[in-house]
Amino acid sequence: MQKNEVQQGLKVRISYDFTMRGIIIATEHRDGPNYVVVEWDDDHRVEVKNITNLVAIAESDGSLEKSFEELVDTIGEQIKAHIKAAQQAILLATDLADTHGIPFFTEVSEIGQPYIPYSFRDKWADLDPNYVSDLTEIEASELARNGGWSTSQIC
Amino acid sequence: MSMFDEDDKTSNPELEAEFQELVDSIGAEIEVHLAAASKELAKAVALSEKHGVPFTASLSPLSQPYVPASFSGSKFSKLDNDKVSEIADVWGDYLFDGDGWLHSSVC
Repeated sequence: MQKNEVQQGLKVRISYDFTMRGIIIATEHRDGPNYVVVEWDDDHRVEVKNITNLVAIAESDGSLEKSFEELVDTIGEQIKAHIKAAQQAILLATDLADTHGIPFFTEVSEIGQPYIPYSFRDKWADLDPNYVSDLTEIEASELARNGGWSTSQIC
Repeated sequence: MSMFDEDDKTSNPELEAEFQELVDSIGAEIEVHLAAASKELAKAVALSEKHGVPFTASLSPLSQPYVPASFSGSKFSKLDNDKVSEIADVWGDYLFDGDGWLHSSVC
């Protein structure tokens, strides 16, 4: 964020964590000209931040949300179809193993977990993470981490 | 005496050969299904990356062994664990751990 963008009441987020969102409540601070005071949305904590670590959040007209919702509906269904096909393939493998008593080792297994695409931040970081969470049923804290498969649910 | 008791294990070349044959034939069929599952999962990931849409899956690329319940009751459970491990490529200790999916390799 540039100095000329800064104004009281502006909604911002941390540049490296799109789930950390808040509002600028003071545009000046004794730490220097590039420092502002931000009140975070989630816990109302007040913190002094350098503006180079902040990104302004544009007021939503709803179009971005609509685009994302349409993608979750269409692409999400295609993704589910592939997951279902993968489940069926795993089931065939375990059925064979059960029938013949043959143990096997596999690189794909029935450990459920969320997948956060590496492209997610580039494409959808302007969306409210709670909104994304509601649509995808993935916790906002999960969305904040780096992309790819997360860790096992049993760990 | 437990069926997994080492004292109960005997070297049985005929049984080992039978197990080896089964792993070669049925194991190859299992591999085909596992490869299909990996391919489908890769397709889901590719779609997710292309559009930036996160998803939750009931399966994932976390490696682990599968030990069928029918193994512990089968004649092959009498084979030496190291031999079973060598033929089926499943670490011998896992054969003690119970039936079905065991645990994640990340734990």
